[in-house]
Amino acid sequence: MSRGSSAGFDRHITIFSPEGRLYQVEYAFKAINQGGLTSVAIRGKDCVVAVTQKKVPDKLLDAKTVTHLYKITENIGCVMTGMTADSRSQVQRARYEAANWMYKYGYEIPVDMLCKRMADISQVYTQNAEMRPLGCCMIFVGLDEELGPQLYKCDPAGYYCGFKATAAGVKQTEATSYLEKKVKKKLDWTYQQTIETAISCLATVLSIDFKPSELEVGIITTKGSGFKILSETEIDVHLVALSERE
Amino acid sequence: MALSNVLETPLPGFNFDNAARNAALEGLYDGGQTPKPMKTGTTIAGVVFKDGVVLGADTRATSGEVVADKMCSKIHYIAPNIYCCGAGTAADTEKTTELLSSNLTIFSQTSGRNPRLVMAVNILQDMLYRYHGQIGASLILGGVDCTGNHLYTVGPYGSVNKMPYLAMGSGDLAALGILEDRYQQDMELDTAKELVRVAIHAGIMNDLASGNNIDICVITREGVDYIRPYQESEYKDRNMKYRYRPGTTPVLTKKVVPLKLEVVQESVQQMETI
Repeated sequence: MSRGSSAGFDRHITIFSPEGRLYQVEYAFKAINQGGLTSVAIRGKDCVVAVTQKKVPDKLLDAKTVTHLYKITENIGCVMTGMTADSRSQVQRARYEAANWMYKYGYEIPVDMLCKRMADISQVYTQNAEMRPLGCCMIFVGLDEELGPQLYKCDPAGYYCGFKATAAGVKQTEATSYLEKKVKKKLDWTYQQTIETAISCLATVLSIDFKPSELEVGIITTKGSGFKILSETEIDVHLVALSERE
Repeated sequence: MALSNVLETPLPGFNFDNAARNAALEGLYDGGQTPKPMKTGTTIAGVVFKDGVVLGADTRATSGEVVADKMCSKIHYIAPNIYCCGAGTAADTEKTTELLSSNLTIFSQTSGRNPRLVMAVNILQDMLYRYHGQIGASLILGGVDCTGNHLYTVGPYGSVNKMPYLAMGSGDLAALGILEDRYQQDMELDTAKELVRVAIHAGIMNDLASGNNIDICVITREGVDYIRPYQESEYKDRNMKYRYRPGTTPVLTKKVVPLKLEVVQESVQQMETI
């Protein structure tokens, strides 16, 4: 069977290569690593936790304005990994979709429906020639009224899935294997355990002894008041507890 | 969410496509008043009880002064957990509820969940408001979803009311009188069914445009009980048989004329017998 020859554009726009690959989508995945950060998210029994690095490279930067954790609705938050500009655009779109759902249907959008919507939008970019896929990975953490704590991830290919624990970014593979070992042992984490496992996963995989200012933690619990981003003092409490455990 | 009914997404804002036509029509009538859409006459009611919702409706559809349908179904299926009574222009209620049901089926399949009442109400309200009352549908939606038992009404202009008991249609005042007097919170199933029956009955008795039988639909967490008819009217339709007893018409004379037949040809064909 003779292999068809491409006109050479399959690397430049999202059309199929002769092997059936979409090079632009694969390059988009590589672009996620350009940010140089790794994020981890774990779903516990009654909570979901998302942890990401906070790197402020320039002394002149205002650290308060640097963040990768975003609130989408009262009960849904997300952690973005990858190119910052693309991330902000996707967050804006996710906020619009969630608000539009509330206006059209009168109740808060469930996490899986929002993730599905963002994944469908990302999929369109893999078919349209005039738009490139976005180089960022969205991890949604949220509380569903019927199903409880939910953790969803959607990527530039337009694929989305629910997870018990997941990671994204530069050290994604190492973090995922670390999480696999932990999840095998125990599935119903308490709030404390979930946060500590997430932080220790990042610390182990990146070999960094974290200070509170180098981490961002976002949580949502069944008890609490929606998606919350922890302050540095709160993060410090967990870091201290973690170091005492070790 | 993909809507099955539209090939292109509706434009945002108001749609004034018919403004020119309406202006031309007004010019044709003396006094500048366009004819009002005809109310086909109905009594529909709904009540929230302890375990769910009971919806009731009469079965008469009128076209002016003539009863067009004596056994029409006014309680429409929206979703396995949501039913809708429709009053107003029959075609409008029928098509609007079918459209809503179709869209919610698509939604159920994509999300894997039963739709919520608020979602159905919001979609209806959005559509009816967009048409500014040109779609003459007054609907009572009732159902049970993950947040509880709910009863809503949506008016033709897009107004929404959430109440534990509701009545709409030309017989609504008669039915509402009964409901206002006898409604209680957390009723049992039989009390609720009887209350709705009496309310619809009041509408049938006091409103010319409502009549014939009463349909009841009970929606609970376990399922739906659609009782059609719940109560038949005592004025039954004629039997549709046109046989008359011999002797109904008196016989005056009788004349018998035998027909003489001549045998022209005779042929015998043997049949094969086993």
